[in-house]
Amino acid sequence: MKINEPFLQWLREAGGAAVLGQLRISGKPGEWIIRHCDDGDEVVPDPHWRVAREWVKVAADGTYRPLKGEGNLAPGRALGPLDDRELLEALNVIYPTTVANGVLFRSGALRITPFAETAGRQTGMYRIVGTITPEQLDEVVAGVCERRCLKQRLWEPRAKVPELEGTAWPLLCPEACNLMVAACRAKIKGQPLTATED
Amino acid sequence: MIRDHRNDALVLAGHGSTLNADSSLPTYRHGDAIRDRGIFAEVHEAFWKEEPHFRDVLRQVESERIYVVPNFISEGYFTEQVIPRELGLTGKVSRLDGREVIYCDPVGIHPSMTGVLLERAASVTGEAAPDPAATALFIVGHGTSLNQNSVKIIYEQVELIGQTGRYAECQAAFMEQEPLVSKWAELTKQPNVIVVPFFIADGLHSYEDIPVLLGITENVREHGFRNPTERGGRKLWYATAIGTEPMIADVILALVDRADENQRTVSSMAA
Repeated sequence: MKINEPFLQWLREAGGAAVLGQLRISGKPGEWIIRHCDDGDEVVPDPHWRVAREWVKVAADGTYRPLKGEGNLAPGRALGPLDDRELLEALNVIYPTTVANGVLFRSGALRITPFAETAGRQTGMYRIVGTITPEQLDEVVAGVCERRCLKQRLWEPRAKVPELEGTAWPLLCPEACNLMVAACRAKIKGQPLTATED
Repeated sequence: MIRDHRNDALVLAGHGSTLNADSSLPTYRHGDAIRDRGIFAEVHEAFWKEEPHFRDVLRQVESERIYVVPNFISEGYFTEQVIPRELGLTGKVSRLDGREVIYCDPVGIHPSMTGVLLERAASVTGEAAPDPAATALFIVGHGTSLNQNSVKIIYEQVELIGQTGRYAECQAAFMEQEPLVSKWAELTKQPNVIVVPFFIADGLHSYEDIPVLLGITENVREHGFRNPTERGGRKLWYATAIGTEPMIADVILALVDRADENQRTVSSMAA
């Protein structure tokens, strides 16, 4: 399935003034610039897309960012000029699967996985997540997804209906991530939601 | 490569971490090394504990033939249950939404790992290489019943390295089962000891715990350690995790070749 070209077409049509999460993308094909929404144009862009991995790794306060959709991407960095392929590589690092999720959603092909299915699939240390109560799930959704993550959750409870108009590309969440599943385990075990184990 | 992969995708599947920011680094490095060679149309990294997750990664892949290589040290829970389940695989070769997904063996079990271990052992001593005839090489794993496959693979590698005769001795040692790495000084009488951790990344175990068990530091974050460290008149070198060795990129490509060979054998048998 073609994922990249529909996104690039949308970007070209956005006139080089697109917003994606905490990023704004300006420029034109072959000369794309990725900046933080909080930054002006004075930040000198780095031409190497792989620098994006360093950018997303730690927040401004130096803490590790295992949740890429968290709204704590540090300002002060920019990438570019990037060609189409480099732009897509960089976006797949900063907001993984966000380009694909948006393209699939627009074409009606994005599969949304109910939480019960995600929980029921777990094995090993996460098997216990299948026993979560609706009240516990509600608290984890509020404390992790709604409090920390910028993504629009497409699964219940309190699923969002994404806006597809304008020059903002949606950050969509079609299925609970492992970080959220791990928080459910912590909740069931009476631990803080941030209690994580690898 | 035995097949042209310019229209194919490679997905490297690693564990990742929600605690350690550098856990995924080796997987990205090997991915970049393969990207730079231009062998595949696309290279993607995916993780259990980081994004993109195994569950999601195939959505961002465009190619119609996709090779998945687990960047894991052995077969076990993750390679046999978690990765196939999360990717929706049905076997070694799966048809998913009209695409062919070829599931390769994990990095650690490829026979070429013997050469990678020897390279790592040679590079840690550098120009100050000790006399191999007076040197013991230890390959160290985690141990315990969690994953006995990794223990088995370490013993196999120890056997293969022993057969090369490169070092006076090659032994297996473990963090949590006998023979214990903390007893290295009793396990060998050689004056020189090289220790290579059989781990994918320099995480908690190989970076912090094993140096303490070896007695070469009290706290690696605060004090670091020297290579070699002198203990009881003997010299000990401690390498970084085997999974950080750049040669692993070649092992990954060899696993893709092996999957293609297996497929060819299956199709010729079917014909």
